[in-house]
Amino acid sequence: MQRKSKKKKKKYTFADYVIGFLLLCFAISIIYPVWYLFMLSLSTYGGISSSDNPFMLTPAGFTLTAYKNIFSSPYIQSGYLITIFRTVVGTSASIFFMALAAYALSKSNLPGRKGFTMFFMVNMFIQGGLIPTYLMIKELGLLDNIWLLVLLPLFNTYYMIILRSFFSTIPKSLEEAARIDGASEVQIFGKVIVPLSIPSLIAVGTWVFFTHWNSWFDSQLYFTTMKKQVVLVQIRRLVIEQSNLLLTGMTTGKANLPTENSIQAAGIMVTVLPVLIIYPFVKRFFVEGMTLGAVKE
Amino acid sequence: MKKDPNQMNLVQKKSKFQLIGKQLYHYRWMYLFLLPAVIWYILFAYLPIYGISIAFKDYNIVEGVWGSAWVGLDNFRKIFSDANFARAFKNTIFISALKLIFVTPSGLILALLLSEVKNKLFKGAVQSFSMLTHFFSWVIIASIMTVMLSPNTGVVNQIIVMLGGEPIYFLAEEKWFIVWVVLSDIWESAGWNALIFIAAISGISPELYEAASIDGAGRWSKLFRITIPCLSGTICTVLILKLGGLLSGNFNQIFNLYNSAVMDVADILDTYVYRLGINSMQYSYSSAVNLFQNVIGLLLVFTVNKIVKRAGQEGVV
Repeated sequence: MQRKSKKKKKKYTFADYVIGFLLLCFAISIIYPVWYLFMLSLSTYGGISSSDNPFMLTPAGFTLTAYKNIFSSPYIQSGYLITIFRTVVGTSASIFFMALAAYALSKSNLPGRKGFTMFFMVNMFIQGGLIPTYLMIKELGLLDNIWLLVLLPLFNTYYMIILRSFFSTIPKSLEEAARIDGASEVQIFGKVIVPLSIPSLIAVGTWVFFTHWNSWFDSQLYFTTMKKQVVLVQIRRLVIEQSNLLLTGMTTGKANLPTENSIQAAGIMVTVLPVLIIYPFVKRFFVEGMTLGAVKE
Repeated sequence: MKKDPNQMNLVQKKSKFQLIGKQLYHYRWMYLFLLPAVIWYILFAYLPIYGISIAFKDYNIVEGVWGSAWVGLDNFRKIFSDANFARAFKNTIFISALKLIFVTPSGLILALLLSEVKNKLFKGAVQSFSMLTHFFSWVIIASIMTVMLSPNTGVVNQIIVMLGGEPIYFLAEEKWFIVWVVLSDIWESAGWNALIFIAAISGISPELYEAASIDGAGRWSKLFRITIPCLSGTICTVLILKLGGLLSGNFNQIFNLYNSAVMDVADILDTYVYRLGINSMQYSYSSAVNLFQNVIGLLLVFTVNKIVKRAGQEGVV
C-alpha cells in the first residue's frame, strides 16, 4: 500500500487518521508512564499536595533531593556498582569465551565437532530447573560469590550458534594467507577473525549486555548479603516490597522535600535512564539479531 | 575402516593412529578454545541436569544431592493430592490462555496498523517506542505499575476519584489483578511481537496489492484477502510456540506483581515451585513439581507441532 501512495500523491483519508490516532494512543501509553515517573521524581511534597492536576505533565514543585537521596543510599550505591561490574565484566567475558568456542566449532574438519555441538545443544532442550540448579550452585560453594553473576550467564548455546554460523562465512583463504605468513592460530583468531566479526560480536554483545543489565533474579536467589544485591533488587525492595530500610536517613513529608513516592520514582528513573540512552543506538542490532534467529529456524 | 581389525596390518594401524594424533595435534588450539565452554557446560548445565535426580530422592541437607536416599515416585504421588498444585496448574493455564487470546493478537494488530501508515517518520517513531518496553526489566515495569496504580497516590486512582469514583486497589483485587497482568504483558511485548509480523508483511509481493488495486479492492478487502492469508503461516507458528508454552508462565512478571491478597488467581507453577523450594525448603517435592511441569510442557509442544504438521503447515520443532 505504500507503493500505491508513492505513485499517487500522498493523500490522507479518514481511515489514515483513525489508524494514526490509534498508534499515537499506543505510543503515548508507552511514553506517558516514563514521563510521569520522571516528573514525579522531581516533585516536592508541598507541590504535590497543593496541585489539583494529577496528570503531572510538569513537576509539582521542583527539587533534585530525591536523586541526591537515591545516590547517597549505601544500598543503591553498592547495587549500582555491582550491576555495572557484572554488566561490563560479564558481557566482555561472555563474548570472549563464546567467540573462542564458536570459532573452534566453525572449523568444519575439527575431529569431534558434531559431538561438541550436541554436547552444547542438549542444554537448549533440557535444563536443571530452578531448585536443582540452586542446590548445585550451593554445593559448589558459589552462593554469595560475586563472580557467580559473571559465571552463571557466561555461555548461551543460542548465541554460540549464531556466532558459529557467522564465523563459518569468513572465507578460509584469509586464514590460509595468514598461516602462510607465519601467524599462529591465536594470532589468526585475534588479528583476522575478530576484526572481521566486529558487527556480529557487537550484535550478540548487545543482547548479553541487556540481559546482564536487566537481571535481578539470580542475584536475589543466590545472594543473602544485602550489600551484594544488584541495583534492580534494591529498587524492588524500595518500590515493590516497600521496605523502609532503604529510606532510612531520608526525610520526607516536608513541603520542599520529595515524597516517598518521588524517591521511589527517582530510583526507577536511575535504572531506566541508561536503557533509554543506549536503546536508540543499539535498536537495530536487536532487529538484526531477531531476523538472524528467524532465518536459523 | 570397516575391515576386520585382524586383517589390518600393523603398519596401517600405526599410521591410522598417527593420522588421528596428527589431526588432534593440528587442532590443539581449537580444543583449548573449547575447553572453557566444556567445563562451563559440565558445571552449570549438566550438574543441574543430574540434580533433577533429587525429584526421586528425599533430599536432606547433610547428605546433599549425591547422598540422599532414593524414594522412587513418592514425590510425584504427592502432586496429585496437593490442592495448591491444582490451583497453580489452573492459574498457569488460565493466564496463558488469556495471553494467547489478547496479547498475541495485539502484536499482529500493531503490525497491521503500522503497515498501513504512509508517513515513514511516524511509522518508525511509533515502532521504536513500541519496542522500547521490551528492554525494561519486569522489576521496573512492576515498579512503575506499583507507583501508578497505588490506591492513594497513583495517577490512575486520582483520576478515578476526580471523576467521582471510589479508588480501586488494582493489584490486590483478583479480577483487576488479572486485567493488569494481561495489559502489562501487552504493554511489554506488543511491539516486540509485532516485529516478526512486520517482517512477514514486508515479504508479501507488492504485485498482489497492485493487482488488487487495479481490480478496485479497498483497504479491507486487501487486508482480508491478501495480508491475512499471506500471514497465516507466521500466525500459525507464533500460536504453536504460545500453545507449547501454555504451562510455562512468566515468572518475572507474576513474581513482581503478585501479593498474598491475590494468591488464588495469581499463583502460577513457576512461582509455586519457587516458594516451595526456596521459602519452604521442600527441595525434592518442588523439583518433582518442576519436572512434572516441564515434561507435560514438552509433550504439549510435540503434540501441537504434530497436529499442525498433519494439518499441512510447517512445524517448528
